[in-house]
Amino acid sequence: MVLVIGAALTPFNRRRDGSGFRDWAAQAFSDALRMAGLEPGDIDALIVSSESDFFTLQLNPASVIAQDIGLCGAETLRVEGGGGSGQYAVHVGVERILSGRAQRVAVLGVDPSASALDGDSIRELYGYSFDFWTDGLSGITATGLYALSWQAFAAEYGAAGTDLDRVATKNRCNACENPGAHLPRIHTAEEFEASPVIASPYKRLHCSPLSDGAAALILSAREAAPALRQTRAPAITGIGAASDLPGLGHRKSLGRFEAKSLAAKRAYEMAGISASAIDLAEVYDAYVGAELQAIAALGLSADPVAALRDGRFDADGACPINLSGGLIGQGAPVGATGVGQAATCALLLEGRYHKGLQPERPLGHALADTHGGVGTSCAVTVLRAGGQA
Amino acid sequence: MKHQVSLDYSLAEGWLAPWIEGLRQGKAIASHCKTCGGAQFPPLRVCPDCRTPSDGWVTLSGRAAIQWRTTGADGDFAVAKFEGAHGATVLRSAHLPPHAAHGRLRACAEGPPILQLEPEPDL
Ligand SMILES: [Zn+2]
Repeated sequence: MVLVIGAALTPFNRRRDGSGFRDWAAQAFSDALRMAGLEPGDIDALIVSSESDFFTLQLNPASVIAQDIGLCGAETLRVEGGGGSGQYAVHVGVERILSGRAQRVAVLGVDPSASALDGDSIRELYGYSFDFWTDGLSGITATGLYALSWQAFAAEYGAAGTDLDRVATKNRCNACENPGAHLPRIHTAEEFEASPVIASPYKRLHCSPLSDGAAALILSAREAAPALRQTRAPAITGIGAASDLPGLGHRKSLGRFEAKSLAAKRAYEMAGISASAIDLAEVYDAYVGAELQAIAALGLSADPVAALRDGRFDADGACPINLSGGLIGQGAPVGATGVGQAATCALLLEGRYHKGLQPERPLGHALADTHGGVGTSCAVTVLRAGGQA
Repeated sequence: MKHQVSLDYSLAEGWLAPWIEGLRQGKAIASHCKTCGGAQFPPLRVCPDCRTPSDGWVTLSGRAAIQWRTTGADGDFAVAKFEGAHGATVLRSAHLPPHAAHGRLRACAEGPPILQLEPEPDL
C-alpha cells in the first residue's frame, strides 16, 4: 500500500520575479514535506521529472535538486517520457515502495517551459517530441498533429467546433477558483471567434500555455508514514502505462488514444475497480480536443461529446474533469504536469483542495492521466481516498 | 542573465538511408514485411501487425490520397495514404491547392529530406 502523505504545487505561470526552476522545486518539496510531517533525512529516494535538458540547461537535474533540498545520500534519478514524464515519475516512486527498496519517496516535477526560452524555440524543441526523421523534419508542430488527430476523433464522435470552445470555457472557469492557475479566464463567444487559427480547427484559445512551475509528492509505505497520515492520506492503488506508434498514420485509429485505453485498463485492474468508480479526473488536455479523446480512451464516458454538453464534466457535474483547470487553465510546466495532476487528485480526495473547487460530496477514487507525444506514451494513476480498508 | 547555446549536429541516417534518398529524388520507398506482404511508408523496422523485421524495400507510385488537412499559423499539413502503403502518414501539404484530394511525393533535392506533397501533373 502506497500512501500520498504530502502533495504540493507551486503556482503555474510565467515567472517574472527572478526565481528559477531550482527555487520552485525546493518550494514544492518543502511544502509537500511539511504536509507529510517529515524531515529531509526521512526520504530514501528522489525521483525527478523534467522533460528536457534544453529547458533547464541542466543534465542530471536530480543531482542539483537533491543538493538544494538536502537529499544527498538518497537515491536520486530523473524519469523522462515526454509530456508524460511526471506521471512516469509517480509510477517509479510507487514501484520503489512496492518493491521494498524505499519506504518514503519524494517525486518532484519541474520545468521552466515559459521563461527560459522564447516561444519559437520551445515550439521547435517540442517538434522533436515526435519521430525526428518523419514528423520532426516536416516542421509540423504539436498543435498541427493534435489538430489532425482531433479531426478524425470529431468525425467519429460527432463533435463540433463549439465543443472545443466548451472545454476551454469549462477548464478556464475552473482555473478562476485556483489561485495557482496560469489562465483564469472567462472567454466570450466573440473572443473564440476572433482567436487566431494556429492549426485548424485549433485556435490559440484552444491550446494550453507554456508555464513555469513545480509539483511534489511525498509517497510512503503505510507502516512508514507518520501515525496521523496513516489514517487520512489517500493511497495510490493503481498504475498503468502503455505506448502507441509515434506516427499517427501508422496507428489503427488516428483519433483514438488506444495506448491510453490500455494504460487505463492496467491501472483499473491493479486498483480492482472499473472506470465507473472514478469520481473525478485530471486528464491531459494539452489541447482542448485531447480532453475529450482522453475521456473516451479512459472509459469515463461512452459518449464524451454528449456528456460534455450535458455538464457531466463540469465542476458540479457527476464526474468533474480538470477541476484544477487542467493544462488549458492551470498551465503546463511539462515535467511538473503529471506530478501536479496526481497531487491535485490527492488533495481533492483528502478534502484539502481550493475551497471553490473542492466537491462537497464524499469522494472514493480519482484518476490522473498524462501522455507524451499525441497519446503515444501514456501513464495513468488511480488514487483512493484514505480511511478505507 | 542571457546565455546562448548554438548546436551543430551531424546526424546519421542509418537504416533509413534508402528512404531518405527516395525523398531527395521524389521516390516513395517503403519498407516491406515478408509475413503479411504489407508496405510501410514511412518505413518501419518491424511490421506493427506481425512484429516481423522488415526484409527490404519496395517503391510505391508516389501518389497519395489526402485524408485530413490542417492549416493556420503553424503551416499546412495533412494525413495522406500513399498508394500501396499499409497505413497513412503525416506530411507537409503547403504546395497543394486547398481542396486537393490527391497529391504526389515532392522531391527535395535541396535542403533537409522532408515528406511533402505537390499537385499531381495534369493528365
Ligand atoms: Zn506484417
